[in-house]
Amino acid sequence: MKPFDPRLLRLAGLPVAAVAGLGAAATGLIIAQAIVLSRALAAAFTGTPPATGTLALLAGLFAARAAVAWATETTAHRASATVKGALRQRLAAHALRLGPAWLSRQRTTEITQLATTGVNALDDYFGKYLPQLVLAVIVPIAVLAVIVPADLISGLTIIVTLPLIPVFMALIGLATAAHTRKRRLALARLGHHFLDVVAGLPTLKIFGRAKAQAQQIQTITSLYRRATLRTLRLAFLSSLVLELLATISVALVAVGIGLRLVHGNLTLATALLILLLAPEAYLPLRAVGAHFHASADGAEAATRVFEILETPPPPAGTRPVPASPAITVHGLTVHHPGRDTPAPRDLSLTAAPGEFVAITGPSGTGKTTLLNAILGFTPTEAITISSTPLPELDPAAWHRHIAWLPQEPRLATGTTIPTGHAFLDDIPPGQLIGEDGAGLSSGQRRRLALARALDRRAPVLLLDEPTAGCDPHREQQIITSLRAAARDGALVLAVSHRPALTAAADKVVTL
Amino acid sequence: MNNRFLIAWLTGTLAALSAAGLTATAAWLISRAAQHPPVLYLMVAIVAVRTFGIGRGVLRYTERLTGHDAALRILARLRVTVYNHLERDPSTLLGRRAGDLAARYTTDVDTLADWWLRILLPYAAAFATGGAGIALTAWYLPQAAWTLALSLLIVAFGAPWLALRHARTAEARTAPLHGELAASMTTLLRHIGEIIAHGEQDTALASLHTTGKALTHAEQRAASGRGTATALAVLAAGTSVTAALWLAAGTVDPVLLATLVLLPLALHELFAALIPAAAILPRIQAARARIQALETPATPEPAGTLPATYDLRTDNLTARGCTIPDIHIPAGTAHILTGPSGTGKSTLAALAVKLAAPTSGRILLGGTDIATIPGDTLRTTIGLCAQDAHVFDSTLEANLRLAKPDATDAELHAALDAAHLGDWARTLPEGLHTRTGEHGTHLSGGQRQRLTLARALLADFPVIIFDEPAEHLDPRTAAELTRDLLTATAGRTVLLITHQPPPPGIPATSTVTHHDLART
Repeated sequence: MKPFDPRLLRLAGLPVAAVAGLGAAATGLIIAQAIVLSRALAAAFTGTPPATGTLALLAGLFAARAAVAWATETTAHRASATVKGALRQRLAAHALRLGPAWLSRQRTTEITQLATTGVNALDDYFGKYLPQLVLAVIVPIAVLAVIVPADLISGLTIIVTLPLIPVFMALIGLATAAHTRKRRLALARLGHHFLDVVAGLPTLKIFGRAKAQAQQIQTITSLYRRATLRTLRLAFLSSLVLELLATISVALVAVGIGLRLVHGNLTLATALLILLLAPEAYLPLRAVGAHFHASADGAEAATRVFEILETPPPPAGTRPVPASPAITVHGLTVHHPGRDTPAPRDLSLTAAPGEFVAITGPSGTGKTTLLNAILGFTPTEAITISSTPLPELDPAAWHRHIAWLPQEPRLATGTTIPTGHAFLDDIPPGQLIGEDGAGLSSGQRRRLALARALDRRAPVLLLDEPTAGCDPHREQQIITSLRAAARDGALVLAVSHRPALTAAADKVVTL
Repeated sequence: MNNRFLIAWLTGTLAALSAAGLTATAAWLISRAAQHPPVLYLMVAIVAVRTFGIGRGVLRYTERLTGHDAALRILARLRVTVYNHLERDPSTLLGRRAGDLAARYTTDVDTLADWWLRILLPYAAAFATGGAGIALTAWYLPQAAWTLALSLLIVAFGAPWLALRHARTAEARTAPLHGELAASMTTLLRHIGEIIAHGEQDTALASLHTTGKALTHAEQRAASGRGTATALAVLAAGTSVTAALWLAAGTVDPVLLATLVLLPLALHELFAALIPAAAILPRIQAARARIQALETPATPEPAGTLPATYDLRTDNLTARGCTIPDIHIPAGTAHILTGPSGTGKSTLAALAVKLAAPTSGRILLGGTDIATIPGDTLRTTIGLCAQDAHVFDSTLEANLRLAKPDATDAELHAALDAAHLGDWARTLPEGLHTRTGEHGTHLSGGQRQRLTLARALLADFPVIIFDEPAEHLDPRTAAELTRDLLTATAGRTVLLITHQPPPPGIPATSTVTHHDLART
């Protein structure tokens, strides 16, 4: 993970600048508070009790720090909300540009998760990590600016030890990385064992092996514990170094100023100021370390989103589409990842305006793939539309010429019921449609989507199983509608298993 | 186990004491040094400061390791306890959401271990250290001890309470929107082709944008409550320090002045670290409630014995809202039960092997009500190859041997052959040692299905139920496999459950019933 991603900060815009400003204010308040407190203590040491004004000033400084802390978290989370919204929207928009060909190589659930819980993890990045990162840069510099003029030796101690922290952490990280990687797989498998056994409990019971597993769980969890501890012994090393360096340096500074005080080279007020400020120089660095891992999930999700956003969309053609296009497929072969045989293999067909073509064949032979290729979702040179190669056509214009009934059509909430279709006689015209067609049977959903496709009055109809799940009567009504569309000049290409439909077609292509 | 927590608590407390002690002794050292005494008088303090400086990191490291060790030991015990509860009544692990539930119980157990590590241990160490600091203050300056105690309690309990209350309000506002957004995103991706083909990109994005914007607004409103707990902690620290300065000046020995004023600062830094830990409290409570709900009282096992014959009969069965019509399978015959999904076919399968109990009615094996037979005994006779039978993250061989640990390799291959998986298994470079992956993900859906069939055949149950054995297969292979299953189990009492019509050419000993099982 990158500790600092400028692309994220650009998306957040102004609030991130505000967080930086608040970080500077917090630094100023820390220093002011140390100055007031050390002077008041030094005065009280010599017998002058603090004036009411000093006490009020001190309380006021604490109150101001509280206000700045509140404002920082609030602003950081506002920034986070903005960035999350922007990332989600851009991801969705870009996914629509990349299209189904790209999506088929991804896992849909992963993308959804990325857009929701994935980017939500950015809350920790913005809310905790980023403000601390700002402080880790500003505070040490400001603190040194105060300490060095006051006591050079203390300042030098901090200047020398402070950079050691990131250096040592990086060295330890490098030294243990290979080891941790090696362990991670074994650790994951052991950690996963319990889930595997619980999920498989009914199966274990069926084979009479369930009771024996309790002992096994004990054994495996013990192994898991030992492996985890071996890993942790290394993982905690970096925080050990961090804490050791920070506290030892403060101890060194404290002893040093104590000794210089004895010899009268330093005033008590200065010594107390250094004692108060020295730990502050290390504190944000320690906090950054602690929040680094908490923020990693969000930053990783963001990196993945940016990766997707930087994927170039497929090249699009620009040529116009004729009013009544004809489709020629010549030797279409599509290979699918993870499958040995291409589907379809060397497919050729022609379909002219006004023609009703049925595509049939066993499942897995590439019927749906053919429709996807005609839609332009599967890049291919094997398809020409009225003598223009498909990739050269303007895709949006081509899509305007098509009405498509996919296998799982989309029905948004509030879809209205089209009128004038005999095969919709069982859906009342006023029926309310819920999300994804809720309230309709699956057969009704398909027929409703088919009616909408027909109503687009497009010159090309691509229909995937238009009569699946229909009774013979409705199937006949649908076939009549398709014939009517072809008679009106549309090119009808229907994938179907149903004998009634293939019998009604002008041409049947069997894959 | 408790000793380890004691050690973790002790080292944690000592680490926290070192941090506070470093500030306190350093303040004393400087104050004393300002009186210009001989350096010898400072030696003890100097050694103490250096010791605390080294001690803190080392002790903290020890604490984290022993704490994790102790928590992981508790985890092992919790896992076994939860497993035993689930083993007694695995009915929650059946059905569509079984995978989610198994995952949730696993996370719940991990979350419970967090209670010790992330809440109990830090609080115990902080309170021991805070107590010591308060006692020291009380010895020299009793009035300041009160403000210190009160301010620390505010940070330990008031600030986490505020943070939790805020988190709950924010969650109530944003949770439904999160759900809506996930649904919109899923719909958009699932229908991406249709949206593009129909040129509906803008409407699809606009609908997503509306939900997203509402969520952003809700989150931005929620953001303003976030920092309240942090702000309260800073205010409490300020009050304590200012009060100590005001009360100490002129009343205590000047050498102790800085110590008494700076000690609250160090203690508050320690206590402020408790606030984020409290955020996991609701998760722990929910996990504990779910785990406790599993603790069903142990019912005495029935003492009946297995009958001599294996005909299977159901009698007025209802379960999980489904009414299951009476069926009778004579011993040694196969019965194919078809009907649409969601009508209690899989429930019948679970009832027959006593993984679930019927609401009413009986299942009779050889005339004996299976309720009178101990479940483990019954399951040596009646086997089930469930639709969602689990493939363990292990090897092909280990998954098969579950059914018959002492099976020979020839038997394993014969079972695979009967399930139409033998040819494939022989082509694998690692053969039966091939890993199956998590939930069998290294296999295709059809291969997974056939592996579980092979396993069920290997166990050689006299009575066997197949639930949707040909799911995930193309129609031709499905028909072949169904025929082969019935051939391989000829002479057994077989119940084959399927939503597809039975294939032609099944053995003559089988009967086919189409039950339109209806939901009541």
